[in-house]
Amino acid sequence: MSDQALSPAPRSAETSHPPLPETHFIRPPKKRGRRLFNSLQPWLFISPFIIIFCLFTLFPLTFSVYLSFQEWNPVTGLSGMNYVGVQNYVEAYDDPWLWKSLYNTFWLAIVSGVPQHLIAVPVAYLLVYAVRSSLRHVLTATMFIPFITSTVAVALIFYSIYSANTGILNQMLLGASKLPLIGALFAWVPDVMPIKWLTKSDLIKPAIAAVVIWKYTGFNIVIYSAGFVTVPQDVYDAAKVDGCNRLQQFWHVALPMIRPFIFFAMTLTIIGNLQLFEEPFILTSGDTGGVGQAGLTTSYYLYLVGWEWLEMGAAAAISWILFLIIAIATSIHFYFNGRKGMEGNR
Amino acid sequence: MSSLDLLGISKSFGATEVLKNIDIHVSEGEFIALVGPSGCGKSTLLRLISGLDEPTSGDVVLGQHVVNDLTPRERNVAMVFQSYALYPHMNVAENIGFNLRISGVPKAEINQRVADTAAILDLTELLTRKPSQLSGGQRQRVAMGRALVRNPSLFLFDEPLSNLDAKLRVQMREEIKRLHAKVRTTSIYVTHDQIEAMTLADRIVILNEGIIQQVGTPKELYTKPANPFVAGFIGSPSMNLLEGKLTQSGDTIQIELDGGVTLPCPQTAPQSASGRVIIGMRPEHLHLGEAAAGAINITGRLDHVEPTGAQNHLKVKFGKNTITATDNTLQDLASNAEVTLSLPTDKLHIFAN
Amino acid sequence: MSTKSLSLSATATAKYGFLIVSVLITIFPFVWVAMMGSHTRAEIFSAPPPFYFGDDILNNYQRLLEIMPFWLVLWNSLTVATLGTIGAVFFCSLCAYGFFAFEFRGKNIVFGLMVASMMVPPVLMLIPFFLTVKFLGLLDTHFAIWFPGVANAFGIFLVRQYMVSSISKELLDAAKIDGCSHFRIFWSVVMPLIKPAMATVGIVMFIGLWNNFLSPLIVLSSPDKYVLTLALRSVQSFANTPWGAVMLGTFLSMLPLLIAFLFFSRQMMAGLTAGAVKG
Repeated sequence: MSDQALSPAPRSAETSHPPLPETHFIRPPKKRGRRLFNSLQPWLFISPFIIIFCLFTLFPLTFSVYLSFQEWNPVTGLSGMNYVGVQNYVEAYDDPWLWKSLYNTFWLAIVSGVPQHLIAVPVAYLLVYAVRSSLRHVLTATMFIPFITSTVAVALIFYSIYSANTGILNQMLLGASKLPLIGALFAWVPDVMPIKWLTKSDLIKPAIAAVVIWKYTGFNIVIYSAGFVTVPQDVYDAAKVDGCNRLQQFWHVALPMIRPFIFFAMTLTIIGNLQLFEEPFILTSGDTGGVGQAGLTTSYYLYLVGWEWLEMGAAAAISWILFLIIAIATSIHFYFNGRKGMEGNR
Repeated sequence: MSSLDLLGISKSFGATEVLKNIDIHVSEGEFIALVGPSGCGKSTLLRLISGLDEPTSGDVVLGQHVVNDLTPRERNVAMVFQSYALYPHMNVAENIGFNLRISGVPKAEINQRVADTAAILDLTELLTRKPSQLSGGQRQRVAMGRALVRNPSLFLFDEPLSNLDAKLRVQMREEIKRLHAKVRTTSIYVTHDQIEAMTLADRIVILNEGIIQQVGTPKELYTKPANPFVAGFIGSPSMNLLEGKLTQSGDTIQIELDGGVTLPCPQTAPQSASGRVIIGMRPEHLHLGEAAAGAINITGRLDHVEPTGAQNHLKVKFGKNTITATDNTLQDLASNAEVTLSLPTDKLHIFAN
Repeated sequence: MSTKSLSLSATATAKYGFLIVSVLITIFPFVWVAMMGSHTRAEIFSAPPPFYFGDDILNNYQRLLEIMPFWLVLWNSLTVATLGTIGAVFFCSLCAYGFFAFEFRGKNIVFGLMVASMMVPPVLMLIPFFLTVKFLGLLDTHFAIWFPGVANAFGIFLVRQYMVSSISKELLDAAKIDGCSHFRIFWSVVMPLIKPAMATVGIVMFIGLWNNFLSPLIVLSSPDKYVLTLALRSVQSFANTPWGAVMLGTFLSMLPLLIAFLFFSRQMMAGLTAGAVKG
């Protein structure tokens, strides 16, 4: 057998099955149309996205950059556009209402944002570890309801609750002041009645913030509950063996483990809260941002400039300024919390 | 049913060339196994035959027609996948009949053919079940049924048994063999398991790094491996391969192994008796004890014994190498004992290196 | 021992008290709006306001129909939400299939653009969106409200991720071998397998469109085209607002989603937090 061993390896040993000569084969004509169709096919499938993306995202974004350097009243049609350079941005810089709206936006973002999480984290923790799972779902679902309710409806309901003379909030405060034991705590109430929650400039923002907190805390509770559920029991057991009490377990084990969830929820809150529009818009009845523009957020202001005052160029400039601020805020958040937040502890 | 020719098939993904100039002829009704280590390109080759992928160059010929531009459906090929790829939302009957439905076969005929196929594969009781309610072996049979129902011109198998446990694998192997004997459809069977290839195939194609190493019947591959790769790939436990060189002193040619041991070279030695070689000895050809005249004796030190039940695998230190020999006599041997192994001269393989 | 059990029950009380108060605060406004919808204006503006269900629902209902074509507006909301939802479920799945089943030049660029577009805050889109709608002559049409969402990045991304995790490439190959065209694979093989993802997209879209206020606000101008959110907000500033009627309308406008939530709370919660929980 070794007689052929040193000869070069045969490429194939098709001794019993000689292939047909090549000329024997029938070669059909190339189908160019099919090749074209095959290469276009993926694009056909994603064409709905491409069309809508170009029409409603790409083109408009580009155009709004252009527009922010124009002076334009949309009523006059496209021909009414005037190039004004950076004037819109300069005017925005000098615009006290814009500064006021930015102040309000940040004030609201913080005051309505931070408590959402300060409430949601412990509530979610309690729900996951102190409530059995059937009841837990009922409670979580209940707290989630505000999130699926339209902001307009919510704002209208609170508009009536906040009503100065007859709103249930003031009435309840009055009622509380007449109660035997805790009445003393509310003794100040009758003197300041009626409290004008929505028409007194220093009360508007807290009133708006309360609505925002009420509407979005449930959403965060659901996210954090989902986070706490992912923490395996043996990690707690290990912490117990190491001598952690319940509070230390929460602080040193549970909280770091749900960091990715906190990071995500905070990202949503930051981006969402810097764009608050509907709550202040309805609660101030859609005029110029309430008394002293105390409820005027930047989104709200941008709407006023564009659609009430019909200065689309200026509105475009404001929207880019707001975008820049959101981008910076998000970047800062990512810079400080991003790495830990996205990696988590798993 | 038809023959298959692959002519100069090459396939590249980006800069990496996965298949290099592949030529294979498969006759009508033949069962061919494509074997090779993972990443050797065998699955890619199967996909090119099926029409799921296009070759970078070369032609796929079915019967007498070049089918490069045809879809799998137009090629009328059927394929059994490693994961079975059953449609999870359809029951067994719908899974088997799906391709007929796509081809617009009338409902009554679909039902008839599905029933016939199910009968062949012993699936009649399971026709209304969903894949998730089936065992691994049953899923495997459904996948076969799906391929069988359409009378394809070519049957393609992509490692169809690798997800089954060992016992079931043997059983399904027999079933595939029986089935092929019955329907005689030209079949291409991809596997990395040489035993599967040896037991099933009429001929085996061994691939490594995108190049065909050898094509031949199981027996040819076993007795006349074309190169060390094939030699090491076929057979279990695998062949002992030792490096060395041929030296000539006068009329006698010797093999001088690396490590200083010298073996006599059989008189059927090659003409060009110089240069480096690799010699191969199958463990099952190495017998304990001195051999009759004409055989090669190898003396070494026993390192350890691996019992497998029917036979023992002896690991023997020989020069700087450790070689494996099988011992069917199940002798009790002391560790580190000196053992002599004999090899019939005609069982020594010599490859150019 | 006894102090320990006492302190235990005290913490339990605190825990449950905390949870109960949270739940009460959450549902109070809903109870309140339902009650207010059943009272006359005089009752609502009495002090203290009535904390019970009144018997003036029918009158409020009459008033509601006087101040807005309630059922027409409800129908409009339903149309917009339904069309947008059906369109999004279908087209997002279709595009997701395109990103899932094919490898093609430029795919990563388009996919990257798509993911990036999810980061663009909606407020930045407000003016450009208005302008596009104006250029296309779609002002004051429902089409302009639901159409831009039918192939939205979020939905496509979600469905594609689901496909990647639940459908093997071999299944697509099997369907090709069985003779399916790509559209047939999408329709007969993939669609039945991505129902959960489609449900998620549907839920998110329907809720979003039903509650949508911003785009109707800038797109719609004729009252007979108004959707619920816009119509309700437009009667807020009436002189002598008939609060009972407005509250009744507000309550009715929330009712469909609340009822749906009663039955599908798990799916709706999972859908609306889908981005968060799956990371």
